Amino acid sequence: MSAIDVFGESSAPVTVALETRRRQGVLRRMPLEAKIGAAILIVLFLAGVLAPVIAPYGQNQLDFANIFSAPSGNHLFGTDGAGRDVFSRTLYALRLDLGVVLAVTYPPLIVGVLVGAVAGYFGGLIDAVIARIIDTMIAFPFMVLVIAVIAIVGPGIKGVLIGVPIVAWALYARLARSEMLVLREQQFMLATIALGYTRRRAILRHAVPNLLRSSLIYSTLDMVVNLLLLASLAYLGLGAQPPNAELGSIIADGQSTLLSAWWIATLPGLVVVLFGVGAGLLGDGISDGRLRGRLQ
Amino acid sequence: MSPPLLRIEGLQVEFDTPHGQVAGVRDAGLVVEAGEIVGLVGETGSGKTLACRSVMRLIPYPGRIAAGRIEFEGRDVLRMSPRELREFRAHDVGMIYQDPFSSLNPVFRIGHQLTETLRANLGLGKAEARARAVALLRDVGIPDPERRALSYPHEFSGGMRQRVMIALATASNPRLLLADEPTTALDVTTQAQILALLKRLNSEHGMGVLLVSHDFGVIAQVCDRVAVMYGGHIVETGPVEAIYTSAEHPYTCGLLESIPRIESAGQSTRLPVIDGVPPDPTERLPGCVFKPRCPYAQPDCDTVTMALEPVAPGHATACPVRPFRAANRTRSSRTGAQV
Amino acid sequence: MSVGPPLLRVQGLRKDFGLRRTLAERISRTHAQPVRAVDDVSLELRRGEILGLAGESGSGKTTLARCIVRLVEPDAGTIELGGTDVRKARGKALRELRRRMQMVFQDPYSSLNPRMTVGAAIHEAGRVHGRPGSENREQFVRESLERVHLSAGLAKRRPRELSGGQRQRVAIARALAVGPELLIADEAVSALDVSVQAQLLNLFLDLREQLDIAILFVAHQLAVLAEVADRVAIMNRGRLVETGEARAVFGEPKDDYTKALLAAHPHPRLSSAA
Repeated sequence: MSAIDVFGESSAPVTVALETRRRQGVLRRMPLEAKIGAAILIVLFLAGVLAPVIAPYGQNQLDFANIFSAPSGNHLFGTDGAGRDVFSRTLYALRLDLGVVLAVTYPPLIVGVLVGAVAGYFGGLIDAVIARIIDTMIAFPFMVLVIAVIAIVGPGIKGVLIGVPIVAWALYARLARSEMLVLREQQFMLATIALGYTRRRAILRHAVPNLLRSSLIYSTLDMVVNLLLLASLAYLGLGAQPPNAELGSIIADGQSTLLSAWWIATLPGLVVVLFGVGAGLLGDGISDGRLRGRLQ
Repeated sequence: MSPPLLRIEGLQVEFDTPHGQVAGVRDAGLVVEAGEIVGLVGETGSGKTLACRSVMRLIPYPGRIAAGRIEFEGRDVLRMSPRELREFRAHDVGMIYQDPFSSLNPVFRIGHQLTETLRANLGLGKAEARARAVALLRDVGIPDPERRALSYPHEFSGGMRQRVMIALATASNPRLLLADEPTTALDVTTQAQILALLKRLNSEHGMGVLLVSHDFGVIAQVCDRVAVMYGGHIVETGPVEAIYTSAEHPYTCGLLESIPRIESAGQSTRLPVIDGVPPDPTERLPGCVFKPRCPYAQPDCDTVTMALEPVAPGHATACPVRPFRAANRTRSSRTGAQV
Repeated sequence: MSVGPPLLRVQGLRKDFGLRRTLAERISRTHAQPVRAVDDVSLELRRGEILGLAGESGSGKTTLARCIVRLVEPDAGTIELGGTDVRKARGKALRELRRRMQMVFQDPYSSLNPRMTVGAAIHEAGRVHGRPGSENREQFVRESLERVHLSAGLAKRRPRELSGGQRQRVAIARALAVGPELLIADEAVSALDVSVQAQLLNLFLDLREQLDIAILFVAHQLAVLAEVADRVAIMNRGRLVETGEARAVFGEPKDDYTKALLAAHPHPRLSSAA
């Protein structure tokens, strides 16, 4: 509910009052949900990054004396059928999975936003060609493509690292392109032409910063989708191969003992859920903040 | 002596912000008698839109009506129950806005939107509602109403859409119409037509109108009386002619003087301006809200309480320094030099 | 006001907009009747002169203004700025020509990049064109803001923190930062409150005095033009119907359309004056 809606017209002094938060820096002005979401994600990423340091055991440290032991002080998440500490495995799995997720979410975002911005800005033939390419990529059955790539390069994360970006950029491109079509008619964009700025400056310096927001919001959702994709592939035996710890394969292994050694599948599963919740809160929080600041 | 159609007294509309409470409307009061057209004029941030919306209690969160009385034909609007309020909004008061496009649902035909209102608010049957809708469209001057009722909002021009809005708002024969900048987005010629329509509805149906605008020309064309708002306060009220010819508040004077005139063509003088900017509602200094910009300010103005005092029958001002016409403001030349 | 060759000369300018053709029309290869937004318009503007361009919405005045800076490409006619052909220019030469004729747009709420601070926007303008003084960012921005009577403290603010009048001043400051000889104000004050509008009109008059720039002032309100313009040109449906000194055109209009426009101008209904 911005000052515009409230007063029915822009009243700068009240806008300043209501928006004073904005001058207090990026972190302060995020609404609570976004902060909680960001905190969750930061904790999970740090856990992954620092896994070699903080994991109490190695990811493949076998201990046949202690197989299937329940969560305890020694083993926070218990142990699996080979006596491996599930908590340590989860940490290493986070390291692997989140690394891959970042690699297949953000580079495509950057490429996609740029391609979409160019297409939307220039219009005409350039746009027609790019738009058709975007449409084709999006029409591809995603999973099928990834599995096909895996069939070619063999199982393991390589397949995901190659297959996902091939299509993922197109979604961001579509988003950025449609926003650019609207944005380029805004008077400040016309002003860049009147001011004699190069088109490169107009696109990179003026348009893209305004286009990033919705792509970033979407990327929080995308990260979760990609994580689940990774997990599903591992579950099918196509993704990260054992003995590498990967969230999906840990959960898959724990499936057979779900009723007896419930901790093997459930606790890492909750970590995945936690990731989803964090990403969702962050995405919601940012997008609400954006609606609040909308003036024109 | 029957109660006036609308009476507002001591209205205070506030917002909760990180800076504490900000008041958009302070201690505002005005009266609209039955069948009268009253104008509410002010610039951005004056609080006129808020005051107008308060009548229907349409102040969105985080704003609220913090104090005051709003009486419609003697009934206390602020104390109405949700059911009474709904009846009030449906039957007694109508409202039209600046942008007719966003108040019309783009996916429904015009006729449908009208009949929906008629059936919901007046309980008319389908055929009856349809007939009445066509009659309403004809009444607001839409040619070929049977055919146009089947059109969608985007197929109408701005002026036509505004007429449809007026039809919607007056469908249940409200006694009071709130018009919030109804002609601001329209062409000069269309504006004239819409204002003529409002006048006609006023004289034919005896419908009172509260017309909010920043354009004095619009106000002067149709209103009987006018209230001038600045910084959340009402600073002057009176008959339109009286205010136009001899305003009794420095802000009103300044405002009228800064209206461009065709007669200035080719002359070497400039428009007089009110120096400075409107006040920051978060910083409420004691005394007169206009003092920082007032060319006639006296030391006392820092401590005076803002209140309307009558200066002539029906004409009141919040300026304690009267008469102030003695100080002559000359127009400076276009080249910047004093003439 | 200087005598000598005109700064801006427009001759025979024409711009058509093609209407969308329905599928049936496309199949049968009939051509839709194009809308002639600018129809054989010629005008001149001298250094230090303020020319008012008046007309109702749809008259083509905004299209004409945009054609001059080639935001919209005209279909026919010539545009000369200081003798240089504007229509033929390309690339760097075109950017340099554009630098010399700046535009201030109507909507204060969308003419500034919402993500840039005021100072950044103004400084960028100076830097891109290598304006003298732009190396010293703070001073350049301060002087630019002072020229439009804004305090230097606003440099850190974003557009959403400013009022409509302040935003327009910033837009003007940004335009002036590149050192233009001609300013085109496209309904630049139409969206502002009356008292703010008055301030800005006086600002335009100040700038004309101080910088000797020419101003093409596009507006639909005749009274606004009466306050600032030396000469006015009236447009109706793409054609220029009357041009002349402001006093002459408004006082003794020759064209019927001008007369009708003047008559339709709102006058307060004052029964005491009747």
